[in-house]
Amino acid sequence: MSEPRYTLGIDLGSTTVKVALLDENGTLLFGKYLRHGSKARETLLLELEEVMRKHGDIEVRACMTGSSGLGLSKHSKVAFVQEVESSFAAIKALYPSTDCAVELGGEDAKIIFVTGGVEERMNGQCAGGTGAFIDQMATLLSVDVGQLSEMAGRAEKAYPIASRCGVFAKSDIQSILNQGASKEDVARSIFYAVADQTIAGLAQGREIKGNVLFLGGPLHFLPALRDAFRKRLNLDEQHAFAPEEAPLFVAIGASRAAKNLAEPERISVLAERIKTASLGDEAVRGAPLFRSEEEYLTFLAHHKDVDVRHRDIKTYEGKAYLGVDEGSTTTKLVLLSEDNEILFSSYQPNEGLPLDNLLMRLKEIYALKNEKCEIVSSAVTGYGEDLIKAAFGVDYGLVETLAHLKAASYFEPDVEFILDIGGQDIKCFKVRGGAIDSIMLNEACSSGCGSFLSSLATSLGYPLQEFVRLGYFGKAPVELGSRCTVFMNSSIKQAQREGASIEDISAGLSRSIVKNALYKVIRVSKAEDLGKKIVVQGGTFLNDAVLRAFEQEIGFEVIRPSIAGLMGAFGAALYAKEKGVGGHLLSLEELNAFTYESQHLTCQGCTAHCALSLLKFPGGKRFLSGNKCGKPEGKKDTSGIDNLYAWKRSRLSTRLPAPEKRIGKVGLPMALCMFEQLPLWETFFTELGFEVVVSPFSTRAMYRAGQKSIPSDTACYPAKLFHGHVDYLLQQNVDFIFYPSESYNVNEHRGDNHFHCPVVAYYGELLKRNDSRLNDSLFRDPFLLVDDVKPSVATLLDCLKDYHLKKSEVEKAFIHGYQAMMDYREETKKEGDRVLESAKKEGKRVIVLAGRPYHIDPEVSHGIDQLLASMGVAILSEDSLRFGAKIRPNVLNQWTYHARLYDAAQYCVDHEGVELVQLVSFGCGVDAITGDETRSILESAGHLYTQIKIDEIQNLGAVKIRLRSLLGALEEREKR
Amino acid sequence: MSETRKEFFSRLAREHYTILVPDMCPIQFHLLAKVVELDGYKLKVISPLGREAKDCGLSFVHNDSCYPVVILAGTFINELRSGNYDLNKTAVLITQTGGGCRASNYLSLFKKAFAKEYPNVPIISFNFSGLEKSRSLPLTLSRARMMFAGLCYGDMLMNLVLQSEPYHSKEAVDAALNDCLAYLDAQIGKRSFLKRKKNYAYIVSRFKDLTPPAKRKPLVGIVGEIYVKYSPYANNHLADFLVKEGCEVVYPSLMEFAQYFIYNSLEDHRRYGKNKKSYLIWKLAFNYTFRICKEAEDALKGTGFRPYEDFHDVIEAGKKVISTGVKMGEGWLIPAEMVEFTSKDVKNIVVVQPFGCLPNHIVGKGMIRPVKELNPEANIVPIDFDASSTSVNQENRLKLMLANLN
Repeated sequence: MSEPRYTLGIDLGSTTVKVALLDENGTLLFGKYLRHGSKARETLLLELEEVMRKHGDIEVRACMTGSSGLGLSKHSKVAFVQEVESSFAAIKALYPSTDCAVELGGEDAKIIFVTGGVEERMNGQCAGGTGAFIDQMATLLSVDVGQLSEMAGRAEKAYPIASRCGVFAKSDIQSILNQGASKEDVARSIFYAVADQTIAGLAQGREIKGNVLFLGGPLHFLPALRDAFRKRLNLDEQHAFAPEEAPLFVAIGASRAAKNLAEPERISVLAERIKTASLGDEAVRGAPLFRSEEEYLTFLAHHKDVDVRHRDIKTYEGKAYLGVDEGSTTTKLVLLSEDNEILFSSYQPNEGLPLDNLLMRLKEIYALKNEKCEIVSSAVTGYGEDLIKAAFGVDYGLVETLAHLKAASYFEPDVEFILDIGGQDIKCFKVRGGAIDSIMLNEACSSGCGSFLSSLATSLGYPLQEFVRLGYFGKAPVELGSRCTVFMNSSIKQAQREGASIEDISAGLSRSIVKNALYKVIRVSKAEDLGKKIVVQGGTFLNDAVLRAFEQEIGFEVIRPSIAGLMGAFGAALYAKEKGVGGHLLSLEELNAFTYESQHLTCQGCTAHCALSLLKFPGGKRFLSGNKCGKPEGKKDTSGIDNLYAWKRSRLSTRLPAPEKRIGKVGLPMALCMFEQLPLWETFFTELGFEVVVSPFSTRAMYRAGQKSIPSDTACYPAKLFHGHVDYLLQQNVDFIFYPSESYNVNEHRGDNHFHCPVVAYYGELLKRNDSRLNDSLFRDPFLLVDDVKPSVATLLDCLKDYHLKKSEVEKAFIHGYQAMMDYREETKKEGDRVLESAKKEGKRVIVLAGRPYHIDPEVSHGIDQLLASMGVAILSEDSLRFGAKIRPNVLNQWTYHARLYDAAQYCVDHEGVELVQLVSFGCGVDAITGDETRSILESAGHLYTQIKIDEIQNLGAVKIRLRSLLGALEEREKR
Repeated sequence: MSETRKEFFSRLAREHYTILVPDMCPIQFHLLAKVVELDGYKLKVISPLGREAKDCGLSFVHNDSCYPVVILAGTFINELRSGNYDLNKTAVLITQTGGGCRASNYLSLFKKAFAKEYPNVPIISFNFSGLEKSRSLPLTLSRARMMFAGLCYGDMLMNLVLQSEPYHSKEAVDAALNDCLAYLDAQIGKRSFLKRKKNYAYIVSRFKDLTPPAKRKPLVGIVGEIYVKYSPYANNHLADFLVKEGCEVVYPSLMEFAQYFIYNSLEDHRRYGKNKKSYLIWKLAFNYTFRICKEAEDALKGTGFRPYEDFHDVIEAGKKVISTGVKMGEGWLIPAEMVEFTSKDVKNIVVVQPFGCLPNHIVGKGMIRPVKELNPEANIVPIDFDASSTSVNQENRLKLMLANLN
């Protein structure tokens, strides 16, 4: 037989199967692209049959590639080539003038630099989900991805969206939607976020320029995504385009690679081996939700609906009370009679249009109700509370936690624990003596667990109910992990590759959601800690599989009301009834005339330049959102009053006069430890005769400017912002940038040791080596023991040796600088005294916003302090307190900044009327320890613990709810 | 704690407590455990039990904590739950290095986790940082020498196994390893255990039929956070995977980590005037390690086996990209090993870390760029490990590294 001339490339991606048959000249004879809907092997076999139909059972050299191909190639003994390598082979053959290729797949993102040193990069797993992310976002907006791209084309503007992870982006998008942003603008923002993430995360400083090739399904099919990349890369269509062959590109590359990697064989032989290969089973399995039909029936009998009475709205005469829960993804509505019977209820996805949706429901109620039924009072809770109040004249607003407590107590007056899993959020409340004792809300990472269930069902082509039901009798549910939905998604993909059944995936997912709630949000290690009387609710719990998984996990039965999905609205209606007459709800005539207009503005009130959206309603009413203070609403700005964060910002913005004789120009980056040590180094350098340039507080624009040199995307946001400060200072033509490397902070004698965290201590070393403009002389980061003069002076002398300074003058400047820092620390404490005094006089609530010095950066804390201050709270920082006796926490207390957290918690325990809110930066491993310990100090003394995790996410929607929940709970407690 | 440290440990020895030790470097830990047992305790080196250990760990430890803590907590608790132990006569031993990273909180996190279920199971710390004074394992000079020797033999065995594995049958390699371990076990407690030259010679002779060929397979170095680096369970059997893919794996020695630790104590003295009292001891210990490492190097001369890198070279290599003041976690050692490897013939490197590892943002991922600038042939891939991450995700990235082997 003559030497076979054909090569076959098989690209098995996470969502699609591609095959490419080439002849000896590399001409494409056959190519096919199909979505596999989790049946990769079957789909591939269909494609192979088609090849054989068209070209006969020819001999080919075959090679597999792609993330799903990895497992199958191993088990079916087909040659394998890594997908980036495949792309590279195809680029060299088809587009040799390419300088760089960007490839997005279902799960992975890759960049290949071809010229100027070949380099191939792939995203880290945390940033996983690119195509999958776009799919999810489309589901969120109830469109398909094609429509999403069209919508983006019609957009007027883009919002900043946290782009580093799908879960984060979703949180941002959710609240932007709830504030009335247009779907078109959101769509464009989504594509920009993907582009930003890829460029920042993968290029890492290497410029993407010249001829750029866009590869992979999403970039091929979605023009808006290509546009987003072009815009961000400043490239035109000639230099950045998706090749014709884009969908098959990787398969073609694999086909070319096959020439050297594989032995020839008939396609039928190959197909047979693929067909019969046993797939590996590396996925870990758990016990089934139900072992038998019988078990299921027993379970159902136990949960025979907890009773709520219903009554016909058409015949009811008398007073009625309306409760609305405007959640992140759904609008819930309940109309109650005088006797707490449900006259009308609805649970509907708001599809990103909360106003339109609720308008329809209200009209429906008016159409149905008897003339003699009067809606006397109404209340709203949830994300969209302010919006709904403003739009429809709803009488009262209440915090979600309160609404849920009201509802749960209706079903179980002695309820001890309420767990609510909604679409976006997981909320847990411990109840003691009829009041909320502690609140746990998920942080960004656990967001969207509930709605993930429905978006996964949709993407697999099942209605949600059916998908969940399938899980009941899954024999061996797959373990999907509990970190976040991005990780879960990737586990699901892996399970699919290994042939896990839809039943086992469904059951596994229900269990993962429960585990996430228990171990990440509630942080229990023993079920008894929850109490015996537990009410579970929220839309997600309407799924029996989730309920069952929860009961299995904690080991006993709980109460799930039949209106589990409506509890917020039910509670709001009960609240409206309690409050009595309001009567501001729009009438039918007003509803019929209701229109709204939305407008997007940028606030010019201060340097934060918040992106605002303004909604205009009939009668000249307006609703403004996106603002972080009262200024654009024309209110008096109280955000800076009795606010230690604001005081520190203004104090640290005051510069010393420049020295008369100038020996050089130094740049001090306002990042990490500089937020505390600025007075030291400003004084030190000024006294030595340096002109000191201090970078301003961070902004999103600065972050963007420095983003490209970030090597580790999972580092904390305050550290990543540092890159932008370096960029700023370099543009000021400083002689050098100074940031001390300090393993040890000042010893305040409050703990077992006095370390800095590794990031604060050594981030300078990273910057120096990752921003190509820097070197040892331009970026000076001497290793100092800052509270010890002798070694510090020696090190500094060496660090500044090119300025030929005298030891005595360096020593003097250092001592003066150190004193300036200590003075600043004492001033901070004095201001703390003053705020306490003022709060006492005015009867204000006092909250210690406990974090680290750099949390005052407005781009780090995103205006949380101002938000709280606008709510009329006096704010202290952890370092403004005068601590009492030394305490011994149950953890190794070895970081100076963190020791202050424990001390601050103890301070709240010792001082009545002072509460604590802890700010935690996402990715701070140290805070995994401090969070638990701070909480235990506070809770052991009966205080509430609130933790707010902050990152790039700018939207304060969820934070607002959390803070209001806290204030609401405190009020409730005090009433009792 | 009313019981003093001395009373506590003599009670443990007298009552023959079973002390559970986590399995990080199987070979080295086997020998070290035997040395500790000389004092009358019974040590049991335990391996994690798959998914169960992770899940159990997650229910006790926040999953933003270090992945090794999650695994270890889960492993211990799972083991204690097994019913195989008298819970009044069982203790657990963990190693601590101290320092400014989140992992230093191992012990407190364990205490918290144990407080509820196993209040009677003491947690013993093995450290040189003065942590947990009342519960840290006492160490006499003679025991310390034994341990150093055990460490060296363990390192040498690991080195020889790694170099013979890719070229010889598993049975032959295992047989040689087990024979050497039996030979060493028999001498523990005796003076002959300290006769290093003789023992090295025995080990080398036992492996002489297993030498690697002159033409080696591609070499892949594994560096990173110490637990994830060595523990096959924590890193999804990374070394086995690489060998199966046709590579020879190169690990830095465990001794190197000890030397790194000692060096940092000396640096603290040099830079900040710390450790005034202990400086001399550290200095002596440091010189001692060089002496015994040199013996190992000599023993391998002309055998066809590659010795470990000289630690002086590692330090100098590190200084090219990072300050030796970076001392938290594995600190400057990781970039130093990367530079040293890539400037010799180990151009391919996997740098491993627990997901979200704080020091490794800087010393791992943050130093890849400068290492590549120094040695453009360097082919480095960072891999994160976590209780929730999937192996396909990791394998695919490893495959990319493997596609570019140098």
